[in-house]
Amino acid sequence: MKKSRAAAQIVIHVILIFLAVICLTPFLSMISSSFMDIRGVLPDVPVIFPKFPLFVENYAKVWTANNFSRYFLNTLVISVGGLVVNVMISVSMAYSFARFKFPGREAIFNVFLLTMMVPAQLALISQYTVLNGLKLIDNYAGVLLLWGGTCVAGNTFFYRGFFESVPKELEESMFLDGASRFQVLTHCIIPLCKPAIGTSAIFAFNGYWGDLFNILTFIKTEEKRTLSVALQLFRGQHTTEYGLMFAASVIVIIPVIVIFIIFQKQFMRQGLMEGAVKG
Amino acid sequence: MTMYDGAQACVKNQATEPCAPSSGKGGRLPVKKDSLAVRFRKGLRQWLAVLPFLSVGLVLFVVFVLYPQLKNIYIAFSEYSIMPGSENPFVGFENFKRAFIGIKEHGSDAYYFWIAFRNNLLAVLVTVPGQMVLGLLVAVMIHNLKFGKNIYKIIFYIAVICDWVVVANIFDYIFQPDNGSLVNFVLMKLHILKEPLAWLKETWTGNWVIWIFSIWKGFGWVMIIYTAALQGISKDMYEAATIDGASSVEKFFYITLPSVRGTTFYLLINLINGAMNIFIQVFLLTKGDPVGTTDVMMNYIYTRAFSYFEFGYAAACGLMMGIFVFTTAMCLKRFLRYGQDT
Repeated sequence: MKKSRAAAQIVIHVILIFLAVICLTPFLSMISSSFMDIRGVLPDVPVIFPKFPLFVENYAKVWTANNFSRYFLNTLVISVGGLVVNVMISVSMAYSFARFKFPGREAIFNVFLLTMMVPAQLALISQYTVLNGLKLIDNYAGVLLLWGGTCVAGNTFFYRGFFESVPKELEESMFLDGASRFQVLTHCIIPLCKPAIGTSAIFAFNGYWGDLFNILTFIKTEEKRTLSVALQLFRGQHTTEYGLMFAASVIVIIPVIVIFIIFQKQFMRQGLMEGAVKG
Repeated sequence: MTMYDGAQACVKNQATEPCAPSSGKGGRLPVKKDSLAVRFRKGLRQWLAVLPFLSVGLVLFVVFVLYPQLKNIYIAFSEYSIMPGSENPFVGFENFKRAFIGIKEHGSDAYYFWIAFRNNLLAVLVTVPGQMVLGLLVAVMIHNLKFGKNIYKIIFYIAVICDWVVVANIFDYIFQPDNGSLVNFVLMKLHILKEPLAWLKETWTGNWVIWIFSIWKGFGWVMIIYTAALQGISKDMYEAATIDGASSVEKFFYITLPSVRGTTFYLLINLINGAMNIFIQVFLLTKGDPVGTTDVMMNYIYTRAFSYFEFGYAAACGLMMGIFVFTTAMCLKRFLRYGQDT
């Protein structure tokens, strides 16, 4: 019994390592290429591992010739802002739908579902006229409000299930102790649904970090651009200068990967609601 | 407390029918019919209670999602111009007709519309099962590991968190037509290919690159959502099944799959929606070339709107797509939740 368990573990590891190699090779190829002077024609053998000595000029060029530090700060500010708005709105909305009864609740919920099915980019024209009317074009506040509005439907749908699965006994005992709705939300529901909220927050943050079309459409000034937009324009200018382009790409994704590795330990923490009701 | 109980009963009903004030159907307590005024006052009280939690999100939703989408319907029925002060006359179903007239003729609007639509359907058929199966299997494998769970999660998630522009650059690079591009090189070494392929320049290879790109970037997301769901399944059920002598495969089909059904529904809706909205892949890799045969609806619509300024026609195409996707999702909902009420 024990032996077959160990064998199964090894088989799983082998399969996962095989998949991991497929997933990571393109990235390795990108990083190695960013340290080489490749332009125009590709070398005969694909670049997978870096060749020494490293060619670091690509990075210097990207960093100095383009305003990447500024773009980095912009992206950070708007992504964090978007994340805060997103979590606050989504959690309170989902709580309303999971734990309150009011007329028209399911009707509104179905409207949410309906709007989720409509292609998002299509509303871009009308959204532009709305923001224009509010005088919020070329303003981060406009983008944040827009993101706050567009996250509502999907996240209410996602969180609602998790919130409803919180044992009612916990809340009832809190109500008996005189807690308010708000206290129940912050002291019971949110802590118990932390993994779900954390998971969704990661997606939100990194969706905002890599957002291309919204920033491209609603932000006009060059100093307010974000990394994705800057990289897309950069790509247009340096189509076949692979080394240079990948140096820029690496600069764009390294912060994302670092942030994810730091935060995922908190977000992926286990032990959901099990054991909370016992006793 | 009564209000609270009502909410629970309502939630239980929700799986089978919309939560109307149920008139005692199958309920434990016969529901007393109140007069209109009483019900109105009760509803008002409930709204006042929920308003502090609901208001901000609802207002933003109405302003930035609902209103723009409704306005889009109006645009679909008009000859719309974005210029301020333009007339935007109402033209009825003219915009919709353009997507159906002359399907067989090369070069007509309808011809390219249906190619793009076909590509979307194929993308759903390939990328949705691809991501679901791969994501679930990897999630189950990782869930059963003793060591190294997190490192695998990080590895498979890297593609998801990377910017589209970055990964599109990488895919563009490894699928270059040269001998030395990664994919051509490996396939030629394995003797699967004799000559290097110009992947992104041909219809079907271009489509496959777009699909593989979507699966490669998307399955990590499915995996992460499933691992969160798997953690929520009580271990007691597995222990009981083991005592009853169930095999791992049986446990997977009779415990794991039913337990994550809600998550599966959420993922299916999102992935189908995602595959119908495939855009950035095409926009960054093939731009629909050669001659629109790798095009998809979103790119078609976007080009129509922002390159040709045919907003009315673009909105009409989008509306039809939206209706199609929504109908599909509703059918799925009925199908997946059927008889599940536990």
